[in-house]
Amino acid sequence: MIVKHVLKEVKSKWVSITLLGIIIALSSFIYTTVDLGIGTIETNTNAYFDEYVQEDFALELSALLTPSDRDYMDEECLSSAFTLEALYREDRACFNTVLNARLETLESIEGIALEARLFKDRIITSFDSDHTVRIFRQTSSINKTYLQRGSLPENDGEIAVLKNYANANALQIGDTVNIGDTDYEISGFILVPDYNLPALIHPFLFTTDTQTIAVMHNETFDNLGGSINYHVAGIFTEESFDLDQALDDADIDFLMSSTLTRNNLRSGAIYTEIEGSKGAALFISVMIASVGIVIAGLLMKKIIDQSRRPFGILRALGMKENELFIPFIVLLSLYSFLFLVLGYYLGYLSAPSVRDFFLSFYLLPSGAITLTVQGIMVAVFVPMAVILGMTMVILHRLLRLSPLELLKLKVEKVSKLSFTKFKMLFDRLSFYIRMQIAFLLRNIVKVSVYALGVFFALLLSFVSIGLYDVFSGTIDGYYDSIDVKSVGYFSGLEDTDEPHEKVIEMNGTINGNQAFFIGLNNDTALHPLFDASGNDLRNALSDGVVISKSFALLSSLQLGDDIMLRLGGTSYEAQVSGVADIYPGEHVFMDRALMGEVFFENSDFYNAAYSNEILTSDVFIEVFNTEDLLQSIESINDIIMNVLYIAMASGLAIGMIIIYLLSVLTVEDQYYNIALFKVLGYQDKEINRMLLGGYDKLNVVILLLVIPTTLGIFQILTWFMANEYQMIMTFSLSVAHVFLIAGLYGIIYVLASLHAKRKVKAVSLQAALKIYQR
Amino acid sequence: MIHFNDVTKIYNKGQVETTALQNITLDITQGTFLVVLGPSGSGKSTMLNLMGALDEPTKGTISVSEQNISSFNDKQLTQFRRDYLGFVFQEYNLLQTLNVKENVEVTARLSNNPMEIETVLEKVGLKHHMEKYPYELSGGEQQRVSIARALVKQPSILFCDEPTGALDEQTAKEVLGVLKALNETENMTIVLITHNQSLATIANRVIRLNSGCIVEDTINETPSGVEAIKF
Repeated sequence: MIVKHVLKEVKSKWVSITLLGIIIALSSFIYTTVDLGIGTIETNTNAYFDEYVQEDFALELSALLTPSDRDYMDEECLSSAFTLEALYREDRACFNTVLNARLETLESIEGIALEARLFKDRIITSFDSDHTVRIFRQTSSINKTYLQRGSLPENDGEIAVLKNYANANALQIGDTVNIGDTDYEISGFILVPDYNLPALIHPFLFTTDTQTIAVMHNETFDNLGGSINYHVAGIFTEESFDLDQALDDADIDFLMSSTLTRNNLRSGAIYTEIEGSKGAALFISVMIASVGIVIAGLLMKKIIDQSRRPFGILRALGMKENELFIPFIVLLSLYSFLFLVLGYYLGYLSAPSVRDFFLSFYLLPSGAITLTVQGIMVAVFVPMAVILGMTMVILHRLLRLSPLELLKLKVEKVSKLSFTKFKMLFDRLSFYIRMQIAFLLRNIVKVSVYALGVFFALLLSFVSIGLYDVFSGTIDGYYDSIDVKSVGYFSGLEDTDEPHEKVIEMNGTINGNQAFFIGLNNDTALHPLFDASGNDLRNALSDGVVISKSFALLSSLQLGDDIMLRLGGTSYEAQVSGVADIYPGEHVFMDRALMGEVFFENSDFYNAAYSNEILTSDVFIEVFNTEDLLQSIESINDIIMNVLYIAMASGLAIGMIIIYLLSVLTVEDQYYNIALFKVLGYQDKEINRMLLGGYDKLNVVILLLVIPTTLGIFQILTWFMANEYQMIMTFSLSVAHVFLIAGLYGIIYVLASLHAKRKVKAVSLQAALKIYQR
Repeated sequence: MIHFNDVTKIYNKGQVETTALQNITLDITQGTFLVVLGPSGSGKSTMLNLMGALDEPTKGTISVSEQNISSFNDKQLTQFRRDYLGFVFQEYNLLQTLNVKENVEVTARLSNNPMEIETVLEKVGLKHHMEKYPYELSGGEQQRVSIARALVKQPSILFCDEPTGALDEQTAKEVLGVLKALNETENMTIVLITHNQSLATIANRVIRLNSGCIVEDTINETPSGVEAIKF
């Protein structure tokens, strides 16, 4: 009988109950999709990095031969070469002698193990446009090559490339690619743990459409033409090893700089982003689940309250508490379990898409989606336990009443807020305002639940829509803000006739954090620098170091902080003289003359040129055009934005469903009052004004509170993602977004109110009074 | 004042058709204290709903104060209730969120010529409970608030649906005393619906309903006072 009663209640509220089920399912769905999709990558990646020995740090060594190098070079080895690269071309054996000697010197530092990472950058000419390939000499102990499919090159004329690159260019194992007039057959697909493709041309240009990493048989590599590049990859063999200190103590003249590279852009690249995405999705699903549970509690309380009289009758007839309790709980368990499992199952189905989406531009090993007990517990059983626990408390509180108490008309006590102090003021207010205040403040518990629910739903909507510019504002926003179309890199202090501004670009560290130093002329016209208030920061270059907003977030620095810059073994103390409102990553800016003087003992030093025209001179060893970069980013952004649009749409949908449910519940709560006012002679408009007018004003207040809260959350999220995951996310909330959400909210609120009012209008007024008074 | 012309009311619930009132023709004059009696399901409440502009007839016409309310739309019916009618219900139907004074004020502001709220509360003996909330009052007191709420706008007709149904004998007599006094001193038309036969003694007209039809319509030339009622 009680089951029949509950089913009848469910039937009368099927829209609300179905929407509630959708919210419950969505919270499970989002968590499961991320947990299984990204969690699988995370687990595989951890194992992959361990097994294939991802480097912990990288050392950049001097390109020039140093006096200590010469100590190792015997008479026969002497040549006209003064760079290691020239030595490689002229005398391979001598190059190896010098390189091994350098490694030996470095390895005398206890607590680290090293291996040289040799590579050559070449062009693949098999396609309409040139593709760039970074070919590694295979290593034996650090950054070992991971074979995804096929086989590693064993013969001359073979090459293994990235699977993503092959897919993007319709290449199969057995196909050939042309490098320097020689065809190489693809023997397999590989990955390397020090994924540094992004650094191939530019730190942010990481598209596998036109770029790949490759390995060849080592002999083939050695015989391949082109310049040799290298750095030294290292791992720690002791825990808590202070690398900077150890390198300082060793005082090695050929050591230029060191960088901790584990799981950052140089190696692993996006490992932290994966963790970050998982964290963000977890945060959103917990938020959705919490609001969903509040709404579930409200609905359950309503259904249970409406069961008060039937409960009273059944208890009076001799039914025990458990006999009423158990059917309710069983039905609710089935209901919540059904939707949670549905969400879990849909999450399981969509997890491979999420995994493949990440792997389409993150070069990490794939793996089968595996279900975990922990995942099922968190996605299904924890929310189910919370919903059931809450319902049990509500039921128990009702069923502990005697049958007589249950049968009595329930009279709700009002929150008797004292107006004594404000009575004069209160009495002066218009009748409608007084009624609105009375209906709000004297139902403070219900109104608080409504306000909290709407607050969280709006917050969810605003946070969702705030994702709109979350990544696109970072890199392309930076390049939009400067007038640099082309960057050319010099091999020495040559010059060119082309119009350009000389700059220095170098990787270094600030307070131990990796930084990308840019030395600009303090009257630079191509690279303006402005702070968030629009102040020109170019003059600040003379007073210290201007850091990008993204670097400030990543390294927790602010204006006026004293900082220690380190570049190629030289340290320099300075002050943060400005924070530029740009988000290009780890960019910091110095006066070029000062930078040259401090780090290169030459105030005229430069190694690159910025131009607002395309640079073409042969004097540049490499040129990159920002337009190419922006195009690459755009294609990646398209993928990211599609995912973000789905996330935004889900967040908005959930927020609006919650607002719909809360509005319906609120109007349903007013059925009795609506019917009574109508009987007394009030017109619909007047009733709305009295009963819902207060809620209208409350909604505006909530909206005004949500806006600063959202902005605060954006600040916290930005700081959190930067500090915990080294991710820069630029959340934004425009006036248009506020109006869009407020408009949507208003429409949903009005529709829900109209829908709810239809129900009370369907019965006669006197019947409505009788039914809803109970 | 109230004229029913061949009024029939049929309720449809699914495929089941129930005739609540059948071909009722009736006239009630100004100042009448009418008691409508009948067992449960006889059509009493339906009659009150129709007279009180809370429902529309399936057939026939209803005129109140010479206005054909059976042709009114929802907005007009609401305006009509606002201008002419007062209601007192068995379950009091007060607004729990508002205190006594505010409950009365809610209807006072509907009238162009309302009584003073304090005066009307004094009339029903509740002036000292003005700031209390309904749940702080006894059943009789709540019913008196309900009467005060109806009276404050000085309606032409007061409809009372089992006004003493939830009250003890003494309280019931007090409430009926207030109604009787209003009828006699203010010449207010009162329509009281009840299944309690003994209330018939205080009315000057009594209608008995059964199965949707008037089975008896009597004029009581010498209505008694409330003291004479034997519950």
